[in-house]
Amino acid sequence: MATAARKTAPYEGPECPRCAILFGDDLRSSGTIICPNCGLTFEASAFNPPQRKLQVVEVAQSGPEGANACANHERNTAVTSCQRCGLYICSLCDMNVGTGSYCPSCFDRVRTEGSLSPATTRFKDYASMARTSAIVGFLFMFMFLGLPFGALTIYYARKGLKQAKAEGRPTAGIRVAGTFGFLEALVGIGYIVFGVLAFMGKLP
Amino acid sequence: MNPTRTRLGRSAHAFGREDVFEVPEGLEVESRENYEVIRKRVLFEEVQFVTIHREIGVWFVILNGLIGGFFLFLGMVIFNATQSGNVWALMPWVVMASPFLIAAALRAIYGVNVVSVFGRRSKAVIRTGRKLKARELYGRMLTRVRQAQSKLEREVAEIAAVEIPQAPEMPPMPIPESAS
Repeated sequence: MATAARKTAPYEGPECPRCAILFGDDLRSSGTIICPNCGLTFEASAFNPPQRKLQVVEVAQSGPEGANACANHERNTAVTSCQRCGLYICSLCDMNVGTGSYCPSCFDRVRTEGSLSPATTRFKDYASMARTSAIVGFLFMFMFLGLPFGALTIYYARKGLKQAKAEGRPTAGIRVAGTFGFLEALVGIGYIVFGVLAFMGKLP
Repeated sequence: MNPTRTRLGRSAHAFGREDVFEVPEGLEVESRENYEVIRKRVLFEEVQFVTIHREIGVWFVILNGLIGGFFLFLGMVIFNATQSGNVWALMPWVVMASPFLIAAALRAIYGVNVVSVFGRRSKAVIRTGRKLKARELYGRMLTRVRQAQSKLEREVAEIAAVEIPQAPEMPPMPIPESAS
């Protein structure tokens, strides 16, 4: 329970790798460190990362010919336009994750829709779902559950394949699960046919 | 997301598992919980603290020891109840218990090496059984962080060096006659 609480707790900054107590700037140093909370040692290297600064040019600074003003900050010069709504945006508003520039509101919408793959941080793991479904279907095949679980495995494997290909991950495991799902579905259909024939008394 | 990423480590816990990959701009952490993947990144240019230590993982040892011990206990109970005197009857239980007991013993003896990378907004934890690999990873992380941060420092200095012309001072607004 304590582990779960620690896992879901938001990250607040560098901490002791052993007891997870927060390490402020005064405690962070390079070399062997003894944690003041748990008393255990660890080796560490501290860094002071520079802050990335954005160059914002004001409209007044860009000369009389001037440039277009940002739609959200009228004093700032626009550096690009949103590729979704065409709004002029300054470097403060430019939300570029490698697939083009978006204004903050369009970025929010596209991210929520899930159509901006580099900004996706939470998604279903279809490969694991296909594997689990294939195993459960295999175990309960004798209970006429081969067909539904087989169909489910094929569905998950199809989605998992698409996902893995988009991310450049290996697809061998998903293909094996999909094949298992197909075989389970076939055996499931066989069971049903066998059951119907037996019920009608047409078995030799 | 990135086809050029390489896996640095994988660790499993009671609620799921976590994979850490190296990508050109940092580390990508994928946590899997209930068939849902949560992905976050630790950018090298934002890293504040990198640590390495060795731990045993008391819960791992206790849980595996308990499971292994439970199988052995069941075997002993059945062995005593049947009173067959045949030691081979114990074998299936010993076989079932041994992976857990071996894992617990190995962890208790050798421990696990942990490399933690703390960024401004997220962290990545890489666990590995081999000490040499952990050292290599630690060194690699330090090199990549130093490279990324010195590059960023140069970029920041370049931006600061560019002189932006100051806007000409506007003349004061004339005071309307009605106000005076």
